[in-house]
Amino acid sequence: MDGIRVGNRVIGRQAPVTIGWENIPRVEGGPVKRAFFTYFQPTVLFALILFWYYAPNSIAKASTAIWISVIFKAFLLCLEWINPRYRSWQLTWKELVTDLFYVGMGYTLVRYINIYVGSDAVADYIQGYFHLGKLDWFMGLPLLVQAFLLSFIFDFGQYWMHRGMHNWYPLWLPHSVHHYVTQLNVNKGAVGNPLELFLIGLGMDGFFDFVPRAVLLAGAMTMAISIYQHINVRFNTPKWWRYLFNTVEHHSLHHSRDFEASRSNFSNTYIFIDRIFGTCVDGEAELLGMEGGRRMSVREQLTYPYLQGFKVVRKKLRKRFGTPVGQVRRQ
Amino acid sequence: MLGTESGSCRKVMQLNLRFISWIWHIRGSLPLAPEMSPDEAFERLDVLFQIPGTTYTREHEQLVFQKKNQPSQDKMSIFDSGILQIKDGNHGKRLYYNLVSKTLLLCFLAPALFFGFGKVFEFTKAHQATISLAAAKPAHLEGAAGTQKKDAVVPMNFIDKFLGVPEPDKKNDLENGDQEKIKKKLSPKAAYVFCGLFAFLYVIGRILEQFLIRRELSRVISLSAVFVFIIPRILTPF
Repeated sequence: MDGIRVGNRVIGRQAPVTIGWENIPRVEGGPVKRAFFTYFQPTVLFALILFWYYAPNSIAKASTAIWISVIFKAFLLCLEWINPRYRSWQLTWKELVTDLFYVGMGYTLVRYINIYVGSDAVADYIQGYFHLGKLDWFMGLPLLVQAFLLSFIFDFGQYWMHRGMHNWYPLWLPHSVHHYVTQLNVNKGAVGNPLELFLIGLGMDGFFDFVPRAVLLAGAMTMAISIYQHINVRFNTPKWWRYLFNTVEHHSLHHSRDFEASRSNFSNTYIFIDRIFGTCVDGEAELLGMEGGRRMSVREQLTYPYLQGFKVVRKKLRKRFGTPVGQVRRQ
Repeated sequence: MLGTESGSCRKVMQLNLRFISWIWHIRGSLPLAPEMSPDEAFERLDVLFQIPGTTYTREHEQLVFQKKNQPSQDKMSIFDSGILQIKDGNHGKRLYYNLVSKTLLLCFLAPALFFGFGKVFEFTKAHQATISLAAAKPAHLEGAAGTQKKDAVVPMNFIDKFLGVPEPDKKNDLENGDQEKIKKKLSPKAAYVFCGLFAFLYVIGRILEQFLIRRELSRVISLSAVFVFIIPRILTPF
């Protein structure tokens, strides 16, 4: 494979990828179907913003947000059956169970660990130690500005953490597991080693104070944009959306079996961060994963970073201090 | 002596496992066409085993397979190993299958894991409540300054006021103290929801996968039967 030159890089030498929006297939079918899959994403985003902006205090609560996200995810799973992007990504019972295991871990174990050692807890500790108050000058800003800042600060941190994971081996180890997924669907964002889920969830938000409604708005905005990152649905995403926000096209390229393609599109929500730092590539890929699309078992996904890390450290120590006595004796 | 004891022990274990092995085993049988030889049947089934990550051995009328890191779209991806046998029965030859699935077993055990998480959260929540009660008095004695600061209502931006956003509820702010937030995060509800969800998914999967594998095996054999037996007869009717 020759690959395609994108800036200074050549993408698609190791696995097939599609580069450029003009080469990406469009939704086929009648006018109603095409209109639905063109306007669905912006309509949901604006509807959710309006809902959280005007919802009475009695229902503007975190529990409502959880219910909305559960129902929305279930609806998107149905859309994956109606208009799949690729048949090869179609959900099976085994995939659903495996994915939901990680979703469950995220809602329980990872959340539990986050309470005590998560970024919010660390921010509280630092602020308490230095007798600092929360930075509350955001609270006087308009709600939508607060919500955008909150989601942007989180995504900006996540961009650098994610980029770091692809560039520094100790961070790559926990993240590598997520790159063994061979297909995408709405639950795939949760698939990964719990250590990675913890690391990627770290943010600077704990240092700032926001109005509770702005937090809910930010959560809704992030969900209504980033949920499409891992979805197996073909959309005619509007130009302005794919210029500003991360899409499944961008993210499938990030998960491609092509090494160079996988080193692009690091942001979670706002793809313009990638555009600013020169890591954005517009395109898509069907063949995903690592090692030629080897599917990792749950057990391996849970142990791989630690066992692989141990092997690498042992190899380095042996190289530095020579072969251990035990091995010489065996020879 | 020891060998005999361990042998009988293994037998008892096997007998005991027989009663629960339905959890992760899928067994069944399919009738074969009378003119179909075991070789022909296994040749037709061969397509199911030409998948990356699958290894198999065939001896006479038995096929034993193993799967490792099987792709998601493998029609038998849920199974990790199994035996397919062709035996003569009262009503002709039948294909018997005994398939092992670790995913079914893990899905069966997953509710126990999440139930355990739920219990740990309940315990921690109760423990946290005791700590909060103990810490409540000194905090109260420290003075009202801190509390007043928390109670203060943040002025709304004029744009939000103009657009008619509901004013923040002071009572809500008071309820959402740090301790309350931790207590909410420690709620065992999510763990119990996943416990129930996996129990439900197990029942669905156990029924669905049994149906799907039966359909797939019969499809592979019957489809081949259409091509091998019916189509040549249509093409050469005389």
